[in-house]
Amino acid sequence: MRKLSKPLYGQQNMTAYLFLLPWLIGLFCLTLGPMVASLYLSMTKFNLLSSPTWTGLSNYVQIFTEDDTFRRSLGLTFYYVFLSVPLRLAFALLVAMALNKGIRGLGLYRTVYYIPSLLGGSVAIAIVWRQIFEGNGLVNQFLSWFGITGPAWIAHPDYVVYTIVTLSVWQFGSAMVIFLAGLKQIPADLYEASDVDGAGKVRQFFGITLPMLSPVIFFNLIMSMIHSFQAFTPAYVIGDGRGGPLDATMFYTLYLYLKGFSFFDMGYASALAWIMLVIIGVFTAIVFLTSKFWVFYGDNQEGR
Amino acid sequence: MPLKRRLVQAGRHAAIILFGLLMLYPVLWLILSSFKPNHLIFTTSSLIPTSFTLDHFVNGWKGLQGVSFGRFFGNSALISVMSVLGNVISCSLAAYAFSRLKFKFKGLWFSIMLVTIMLPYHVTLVPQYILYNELHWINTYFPLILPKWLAQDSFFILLMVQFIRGIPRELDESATIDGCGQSQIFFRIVVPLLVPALITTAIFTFIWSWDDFFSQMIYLSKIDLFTVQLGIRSLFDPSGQSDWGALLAMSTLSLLPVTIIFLVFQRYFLEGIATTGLK
Amino acid sequence: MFKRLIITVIASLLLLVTACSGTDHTGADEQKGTETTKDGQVELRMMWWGDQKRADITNEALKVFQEKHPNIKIVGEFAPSSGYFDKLNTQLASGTAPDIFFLGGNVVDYAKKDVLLNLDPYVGSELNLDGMDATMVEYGRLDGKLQHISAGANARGIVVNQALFDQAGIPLPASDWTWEDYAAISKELSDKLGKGFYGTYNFTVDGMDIFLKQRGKQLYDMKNGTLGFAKEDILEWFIYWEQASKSGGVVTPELQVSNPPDDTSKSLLITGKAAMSLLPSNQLAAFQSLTEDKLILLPVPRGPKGTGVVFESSQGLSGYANTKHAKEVAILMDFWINDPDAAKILGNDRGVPVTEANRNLLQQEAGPVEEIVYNYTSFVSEATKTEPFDVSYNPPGFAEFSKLAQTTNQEIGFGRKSVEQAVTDFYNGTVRIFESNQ
Repeated sequence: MRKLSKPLYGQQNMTAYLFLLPWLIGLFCLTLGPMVASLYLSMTKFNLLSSPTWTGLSNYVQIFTEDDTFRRSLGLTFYYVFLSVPLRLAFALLVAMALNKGIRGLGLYRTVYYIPSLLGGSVAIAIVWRQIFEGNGLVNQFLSWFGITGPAWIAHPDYVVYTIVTLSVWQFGSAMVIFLAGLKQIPADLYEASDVDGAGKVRQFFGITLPMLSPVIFFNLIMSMIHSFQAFTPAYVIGDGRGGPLDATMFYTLYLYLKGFSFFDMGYASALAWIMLVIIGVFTAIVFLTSKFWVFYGDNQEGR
Repeated sequence: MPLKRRLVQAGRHAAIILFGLLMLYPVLWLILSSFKPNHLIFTTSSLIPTSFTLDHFVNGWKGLQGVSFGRFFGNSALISVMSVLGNVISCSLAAYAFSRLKFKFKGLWFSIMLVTIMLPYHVTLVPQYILYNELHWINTYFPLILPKWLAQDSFFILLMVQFIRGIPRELDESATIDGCGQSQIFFRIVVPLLVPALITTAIFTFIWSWDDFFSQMIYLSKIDLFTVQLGIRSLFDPSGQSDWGALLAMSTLSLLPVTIIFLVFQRYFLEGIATTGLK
Repeated sequence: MFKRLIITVIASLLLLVTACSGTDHTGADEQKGTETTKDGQVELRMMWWGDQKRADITNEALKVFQEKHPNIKIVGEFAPSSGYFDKLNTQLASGTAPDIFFLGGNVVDYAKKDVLLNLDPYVGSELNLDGMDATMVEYGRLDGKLQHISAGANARGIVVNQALFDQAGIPLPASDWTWEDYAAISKELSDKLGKGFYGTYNFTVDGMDIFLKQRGKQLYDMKNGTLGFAKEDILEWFIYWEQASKSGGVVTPELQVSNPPDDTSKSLLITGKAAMSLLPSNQLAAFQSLTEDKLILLPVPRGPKGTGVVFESSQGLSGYANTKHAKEVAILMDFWINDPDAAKILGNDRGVPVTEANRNLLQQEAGPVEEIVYNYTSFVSEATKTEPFDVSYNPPGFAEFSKLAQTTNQEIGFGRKSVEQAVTDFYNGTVRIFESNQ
């Protein structure tokens, strides 16, 4: 009979840390270490060909006082996130609700709507997107049937961001699937009871559906927000790869990439990275803190 | 009034189908245009090709500078498969520790792990590049694969933790009574039951690594190391003449592996996403 | 208990190592950059920018080279011009740059970073420069070291779509026309041809250096290592284009973005919607091959000191400072500029050949388009005898500088800033970029 070498209860330090070893190595070497290094680099001037030279806070000063592109890029990225995320979630919820009415062929429809999410991240789709939004591309041809002359979407700084927003909203399928699963979990008798009370569809939506879905909305919101802040491929492919025209596709990640890998100012790029980290941290914290007020975890328990 | 209801039903179906077609239009356009001769691709707006050609697939396959797209597909496949293996193994190990084992500082490490899920990659990008540069790993696949073997896609750790929490502890207990240590419990009990989550992890890892244009662009510049995404990007020359037919044909092919995996493993996909969202 | 775990870990590591040794080979290759096998076989990596057509002729020339030098194998890479320098920079930074690659006027940036091979030791032996014009050779001498060999020469001119002029019933301009003439003719063309037609592309950015030279200034003063102009010098140029755009005749900002002048697949000159633009002479053939309209080259409108245009290097070859095969790099460069077979294959795509012998060779077989180019470049050479100008180098930090210039131009074009404000910001930005790239 084999001897029990480790107690089942009580500390299992050795085993646990052995299991965690790959993750811990990764954490220190690829995450925490680089984070500290990038904080250091953000205070240097470094072009990869010679050693870093210490410049103190001058990168940050330049970013906040002299850099027009930074301001435009940050503004653009915020605009993109706060436009595309709510739109995407709204579509996802609406379509999920429409599909949840017990329609035949649900599986097929679910698949069809999911496909854009599946393919949307690829370079191929971004290229297609660029083509269909060209001055005389498919979108404008479609609009011309209604007598509308569309602008040169990808050539005009005012409009090109909307092509990228559309691309993001087009990919609502993944959020929709999560909402569908969430909707299924809402007990039907809640709706029946409110019917008896004479509640209309709208009342039901705000009184039952939204609160019951709030944890799911919360999750989707956080993941979508963080993902959108980091968008790169669409900006790179649909724009001219340099953030044009007029920095209208200069998403924050693209600006970081250009500064670091094109203009060879790795110190500046690191400073930009830390600023983005702080911003995302702040927004995530805001969503977490306010969740107390609007996320409802069921069992009549408010908050976390 | 059954008729009214049927009409409403039919109307709803029609709306959903129409919307679905609209959603798929870009994809359909991409696929069908790759069969049209070059001069017709942008001039006709109808989806169905009036003249049908397979030339673009043949030409596009030739690739760049003598390196065929077959090579690119092989490279992408190698990277993706290695990434899948890495994630499946390292994330399941970590997830087991977090969900089943008691150890010092567990709360701290778990919180850190949660935070890293939300960490934007900008802040580690530059130093990682410098690190890999020092190791002379630029223009190799190490930078793309190593993070997977070190469980840095912590999203999957969380996924598996949630999943393992759903596996009854009684199974563990009876195994211990039979004399199994923790690692044996892991291999004999937990892993077999973890399979759905492993499959979900494998699928998503495959797709995300297949589409990871940014990392591939930064670390790979030698053409025979190119991936499918880089190959397609290179066919697209904004300041020159792109061979649109070849570009669209290769793009269509690039979407195939991901689509096939999705169709075969649909169940795991959609259930997997749902599980992550709900816990 | 532990055994299983340890076996798993070891198995995983083994898998990792096996996979890595699959890629390790490639990794090791990259570190060496090239290979030398036992029988003295040398492999060189070469990189250039351009489209598929240029790639085809380059590959053909490389094939001929490899036939003549069976012990040297060339692995070629190319990228579209928009991504080329990013790629090159990344490779230089990671020590995996090709052995030999093309550079343009931005050779200054690379010389400053000490990444270019010093070619002086090979001149006279592997690299024969006797047939090359002295000024061309000197162009590649930076910091006293020869680091760059011009591979083609060109001169900028105004490309004119003659068919549009005929259609509008306007006579071709005289060769000593001025900028006032230019704006007026552009407007006239646009008026006469109607909506959707434009007299000229907006070349504020590309024409900046020429404008400055016409006033005795320049973008970058190579000899003194300083910026060659002050804010007031360039303000006039931006104002000129703003007014020309307002009065009509210039391509709209949106069209300038969606149909860039240097994109042969989209240029309005080729589709017959714009009549004039600034063009380097070596691109005339590529443009003409895509349209039935007759295209010709005219001298640039004159400023106070002349046209500001010089017959100079369009692009050239440099070697990587850390290459393991410097001798072979020199041999390839020699082939590129001296070999008559190479000259015939490469033609004028990158510019007119830099040695007189090859120039004469091509001139004998020149078609009508090449004739125009030769006549134009000769005209420029002659003109600079009486009105000489310095050759152009791009200022350091050129990638960032050209993006700033383009953004400034768009800010004015899309009405985001007044000209004065835009130029002030532009100049401040230019100074900052210049100083951070010393």
